[in-house]
Amino acid sequence: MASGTGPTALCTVENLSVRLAGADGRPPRTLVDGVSLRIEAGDYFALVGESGSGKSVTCHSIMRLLPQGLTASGRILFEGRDILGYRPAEMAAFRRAKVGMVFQDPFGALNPVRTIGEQMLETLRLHHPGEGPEQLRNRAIEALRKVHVSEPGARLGVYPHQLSGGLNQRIMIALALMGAPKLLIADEPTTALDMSVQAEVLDLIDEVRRENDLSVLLVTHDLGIVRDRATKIAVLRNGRMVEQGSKDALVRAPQEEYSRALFAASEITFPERAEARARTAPRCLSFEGVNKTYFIGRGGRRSGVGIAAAKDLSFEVRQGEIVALIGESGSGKTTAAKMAMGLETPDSGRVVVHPSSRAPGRTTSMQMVFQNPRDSLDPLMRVGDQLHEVLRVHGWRDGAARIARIATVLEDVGIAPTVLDRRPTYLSGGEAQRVVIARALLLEPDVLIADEPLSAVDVQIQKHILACMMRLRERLGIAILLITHDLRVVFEIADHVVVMRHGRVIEDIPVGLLGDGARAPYTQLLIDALPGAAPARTEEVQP
Amino acid sequence: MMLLGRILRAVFSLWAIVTLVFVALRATGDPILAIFDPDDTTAEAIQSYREIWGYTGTTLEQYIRYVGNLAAGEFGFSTMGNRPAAVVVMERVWPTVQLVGASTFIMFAIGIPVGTLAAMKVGTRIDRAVMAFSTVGFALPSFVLGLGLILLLSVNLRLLPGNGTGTILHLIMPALTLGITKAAIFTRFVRSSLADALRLQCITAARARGLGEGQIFLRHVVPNALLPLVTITPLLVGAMVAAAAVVESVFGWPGLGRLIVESVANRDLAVLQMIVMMVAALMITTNLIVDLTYSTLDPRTGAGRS
Repeated sequence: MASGTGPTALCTVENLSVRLAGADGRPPRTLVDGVSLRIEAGDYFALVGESGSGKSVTCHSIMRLLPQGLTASGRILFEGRDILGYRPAEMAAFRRAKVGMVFQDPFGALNPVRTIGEQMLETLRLHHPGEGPEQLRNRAIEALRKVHVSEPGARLGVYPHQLSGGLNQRIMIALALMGAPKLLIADEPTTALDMSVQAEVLDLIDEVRRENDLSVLLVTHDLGIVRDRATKIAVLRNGRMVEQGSKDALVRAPQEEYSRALFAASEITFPERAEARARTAPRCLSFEGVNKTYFIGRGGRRSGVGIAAAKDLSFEVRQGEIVALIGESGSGKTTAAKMAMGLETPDSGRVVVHPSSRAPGRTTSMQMVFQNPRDSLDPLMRVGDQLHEVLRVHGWRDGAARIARIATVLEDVGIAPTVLDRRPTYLSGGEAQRVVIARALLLEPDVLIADEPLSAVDVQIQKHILACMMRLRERLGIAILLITHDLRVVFEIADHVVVMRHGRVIEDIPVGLLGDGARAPYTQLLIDALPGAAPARTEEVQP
Repeated sequence: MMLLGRILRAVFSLWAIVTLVFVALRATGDPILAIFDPDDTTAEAIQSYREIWGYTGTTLEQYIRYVGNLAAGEFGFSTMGNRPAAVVVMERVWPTVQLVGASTFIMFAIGIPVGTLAAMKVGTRIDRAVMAFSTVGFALPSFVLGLGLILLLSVNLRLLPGNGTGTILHLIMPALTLGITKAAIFTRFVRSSLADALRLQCITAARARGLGEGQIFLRHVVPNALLPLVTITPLLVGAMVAAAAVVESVFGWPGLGRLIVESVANRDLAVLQMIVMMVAALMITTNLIVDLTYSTLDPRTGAGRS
């Protein structure tokens, strides 16, 4: 693939394999298997694939930043020299001057116990050893200004946790550009950020790319971003190259079955613009003018500045509906879920749990599914035991009845009973999340509250879980309150959407109305920020 | 404001300990009857000793008088030798300070380099060997280690005096005994906090910016690893004072630890109270200082400056 090293090749990866040494009885594993790619000057090269496809490992190999136990073989040529042969000092010089890197979690990538200024200055000192503190400080301010950080002088004295994720990511980009690199490696640079901030950060990367004559290697699972911005695409799966080529060719006509599926899964279909159906089903859960304010610091006492998690919050969930609660982090959606479950009490207003319409004589019962399935399963207990435990606690004495109930529920969520004997470590992400959903379903809830159930799993597994939720709604008639930040999920399955911002309801509409162009400005912003929403652009961004 | 709250809490802890000491020591029997046999001492004599040492009146009265005296800085008289308890205790403080100081030095001298080495080589044979030795180290009772050292260094090799005080040579073995035992624990803490810090993404990010390894270690790894170490160090040093009771007895070192053993044996309540309160006050103050340094070490724990 990358046999001809032309004059414009900036970075060529030839037959790269990365192996994980076996330890404690585990056999060695091959994480990347014979991957070749070629980045030319000016490319916006996107490396896409699901988690575990080896995309991060590949880009970390280019910087030789693999964790202990991983060894890379093959050749990585940068401007014609094989960096795998560099001695440590040469490697440090290479990282300083040739390649900048931006990471997924800006909070993790900046040192939490040192100020922004200290971290910028120590990096600047490497590049301008002769300069005094005043000159370096000016350079730092200039660098922050270039990435559009407001009040750059004041930012130097603060710690990363005092700034937002978007600002921190801008600072990371400024740090990465300090050595005037030729290549910027961005490893899932927006995955940890809010929707509206994602677009800003990606625009910034486009901008610095143009201004600094940079090539970009973008690692992402988000094909929307790729569609919008990349010039070349390489698709990885299970450590192997599936296919690569120019964006246009790949987006229009992917050759391999897998890439086709991947692109299809990322396709955004605006829901049909249907007339708003009257909501006639009986109510399950309603919020009536709920207020909730959190106060920071001082042992929870009511002093300082309060943060409103709910301001006059009103919406309802009716039987058999899938209601999506959408908003950015800090908008109050998780607080709303906690109040629905009774885990938090509102300051004022009412959260009403209506009498169940499915089982006369009792109130609506609710169960919750959390974001990370692995955290909500006990890693030491077998899946079967964890499911039995739930029923036993609720008075199911009869073992045979429990087994029958569990079998039914597993069928509802669509996983094989063989998972019962396994421990959570041996489940895939999708299986684990479905086990969690199954556990929530055991007690036949009327409402399932799912807090970001998809953000820890891959695109294709998301599909399975969404399908599973649809099936549950149809088969069991339960209502689902789905908390998400991802509009694509909303388009796919929700009946009704509630958009929240700063604790307020901005929008409370049937999902069919989302695309009608008459939405509140914030909702429109979320829709427009959706990567891949625009039809695939064909013109390439000139470097 | 926060400081005042912390200090009030410290005063409260101190009062709780004072009360606990009072109750515990009186719950174990009449101290006068533990010293004098009522069969061959006259009731008048016993009564006069009660008055001298403050054991008259109801328990509540005794308690109030006891707390009042403490607040006024009067710690009572030692029943052994009839000297003020404060004097008896103070003359034993310096040897213990020497011993604990030297032991702390040994703990750092072993724990920091060995723990760092293990952290850098996590999962390797070196790491496993260090961990194994550390397990042996803290499973070993300090008197066994002490007696072993005496057998080796005094009896067999005749390098060091096995007992007593006076020269720096006398200090080496008790300090080694205490220091090695605590170093076993300290090494593990150094290893795990450094290993955690090394795994942070900001270390990878610093490396990606081309910083040198030495700079990364000193400026990025160490600051992130410091917090647990600053927490555990005073606890280990405090535990050394407690362990000194055994070690000082083994090596005949005239410090506080041996004084505790002696005064328990003689039911010398004033001295015991004094020691317990002194150690408690020391621990509470160090913990107060540690709490106050947290926000400097980790800005995230401070009251959110923004």
